[in-house]
Amino acid sequence: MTVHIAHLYYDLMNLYGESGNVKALKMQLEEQGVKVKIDFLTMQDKIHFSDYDFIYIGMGTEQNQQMVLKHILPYKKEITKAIEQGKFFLITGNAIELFGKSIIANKKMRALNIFHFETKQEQMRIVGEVLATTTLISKPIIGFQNRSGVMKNVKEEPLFIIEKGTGYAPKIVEEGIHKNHFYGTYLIGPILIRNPEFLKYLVKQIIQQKDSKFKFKPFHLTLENKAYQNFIQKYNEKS
Amino acid sequence: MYHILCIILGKVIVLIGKICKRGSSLPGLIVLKLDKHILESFQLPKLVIAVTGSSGKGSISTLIAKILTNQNYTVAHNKVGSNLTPGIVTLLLEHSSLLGKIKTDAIVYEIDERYAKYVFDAITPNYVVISNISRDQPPRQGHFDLVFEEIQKAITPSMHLILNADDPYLQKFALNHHGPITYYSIEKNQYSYTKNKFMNLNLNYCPKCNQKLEYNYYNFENIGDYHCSSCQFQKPKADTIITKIDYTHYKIVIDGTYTIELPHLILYDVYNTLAAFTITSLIGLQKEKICDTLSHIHKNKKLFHVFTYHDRIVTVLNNKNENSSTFNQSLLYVSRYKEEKTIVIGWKEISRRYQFDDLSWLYDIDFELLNKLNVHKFVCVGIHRYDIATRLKYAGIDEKTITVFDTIEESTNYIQQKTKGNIYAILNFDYVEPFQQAMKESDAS
Repeated sequence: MTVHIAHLYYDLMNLYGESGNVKALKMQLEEQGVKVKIDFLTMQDKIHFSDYDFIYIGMGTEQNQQMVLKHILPYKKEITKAIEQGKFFLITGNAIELFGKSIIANKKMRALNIFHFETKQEQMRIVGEVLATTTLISKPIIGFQNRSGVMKNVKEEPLFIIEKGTGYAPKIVEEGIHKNHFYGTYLIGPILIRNPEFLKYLVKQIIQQKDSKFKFKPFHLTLENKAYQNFIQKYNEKS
Repeated sequence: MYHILCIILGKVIVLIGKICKRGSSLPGLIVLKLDKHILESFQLPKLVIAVTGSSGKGSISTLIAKILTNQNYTVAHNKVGSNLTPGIVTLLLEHSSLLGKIKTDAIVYEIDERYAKYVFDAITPNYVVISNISRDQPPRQGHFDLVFEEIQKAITPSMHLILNADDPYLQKFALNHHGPITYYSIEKNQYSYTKNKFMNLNLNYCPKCNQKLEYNYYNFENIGDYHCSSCQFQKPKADTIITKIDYTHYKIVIDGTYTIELPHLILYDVYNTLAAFTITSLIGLQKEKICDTLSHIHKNKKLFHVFTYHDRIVTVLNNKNENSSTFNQSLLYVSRYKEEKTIVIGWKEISRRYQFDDLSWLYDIDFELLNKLNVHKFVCVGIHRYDIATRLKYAGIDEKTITVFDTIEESTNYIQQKTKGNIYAILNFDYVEPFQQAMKESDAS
């Protein structure tokens, strides 16, 4: 079994440790005996979405996001099809804004229009720790936000329900977009490494989509779990 | 008249502060409360040099102030850390007459990259050194493009910019600037490399036309000899150039002629030294004397320190948390040494400013540089020891070589008893002294 991963715009959407997520997938898939092929693709490349099982895009500066927006717009049909077919998308930070109707910054820009929401990039930034729940796994999700975008008209199913932190807009508890195997969130950085249960969940889903009878080996996530527990413990002490 | 009263009051508070040996920003803070336009009340000397950027501004401004002092200038200079508006006001109060006239020949001030726009209007520098704009304190700064915009707001055509020619990101200032610019550069040397070693660079595309940048060589991250693959954009010709770096003898040679002995071996020290040389020679100071001053500045123990523990060489590398570039420089440094070694990584807290557990920056650091080195043990220490250990694991380092400790004392006991080889401690500044102390105390006993 080989899992093909595309890390898109790795040299533009690389602001807050985004490369950690792909590292996590690669290592954990390989530990299950699965081959992993990663293509790092960007502005000079043509992207064949149908070639991949898993697409990753991370967070970038507002300026880099605009460069990427121009490049990704022609792929709307292919991306829509890939999401409908149940291909995996992990989209972190402001990369999620690419998938809405429009992004309003100093000007209004048309986005992929795959989901309903619109984004306005504010002058302030939403910064802070996040603790959230999800229906996908039992343990809470931990992470961090650092963004200027605020969404409105969100009609899609949220990925997370925020307990601490900010949802897709201030005073909103819903955060992220979940549709089929599209997992999009404003959380930044290596969220798969910081949330070993979520990593395990995704790895299992990816493999089972290819082989529903796959026999999983035990996952070795001791360090990751300790780091996670430390965060939870500190979080409980603080609150 | 009110301004003058405020200045007099400010000077009294400075005096009281000195008697009580208290803080540096407080007088400025109080006076700013009384008169928010106080900065405009000072009459400046002919020479005003400002230094800003993500890192190095404290070191560079200190070097410039020392060089000037050694060439008979009287200098007003803010101490490291007092680099926000109140710190600048205090500095001016300390050095002004009762009427607000600055009594020194020159002002050299480091200014926080987000505060330049509040200060430059009134305390307008003739020269502005912008050291770099790197990934630094994301929860506070957002990101480097926002920092660039903040500094850009403060720059006017009357200011003479001093920039690192090797850093394409700083060229964004040059593209907008209508005043003079002087550049410095480190020529290709034995430590330059041609294949990029760092995954998460701030700028990969031409700031003029958005096409991919290409490199003849790199000195570090995206610092090197670059040009655009499409337009005319390229590394500008530098006015001051390091033509030789000799790390074994702790020496650099500028423009083929001027030799400076360096106490530090890290690239940022070399660039900081070069920046100070460039600005001071630009204003006409004697170059031999500049070299003399720079060569004799004592080792800053806090920045970088080497000592021995039994027969093992201990190298303590000072880093800034939430600033991946400082860690990357340390890793590049360590990766040059091939002998068996033990590597220590840790910190007491991520930030003194806030209590966030943002660890994303750990993944902007290329710990992958360590995974083919001859390392006996990796020692992760402090509150985020498991996060550090996890990061090392995903860099491809064998988990069996990684150990974790809660405290410096536990870690140094282990290092002394159970590990082999020279010791490289890659620490946030808050662990530098505790680590050195713990290592040295047990050496003495």
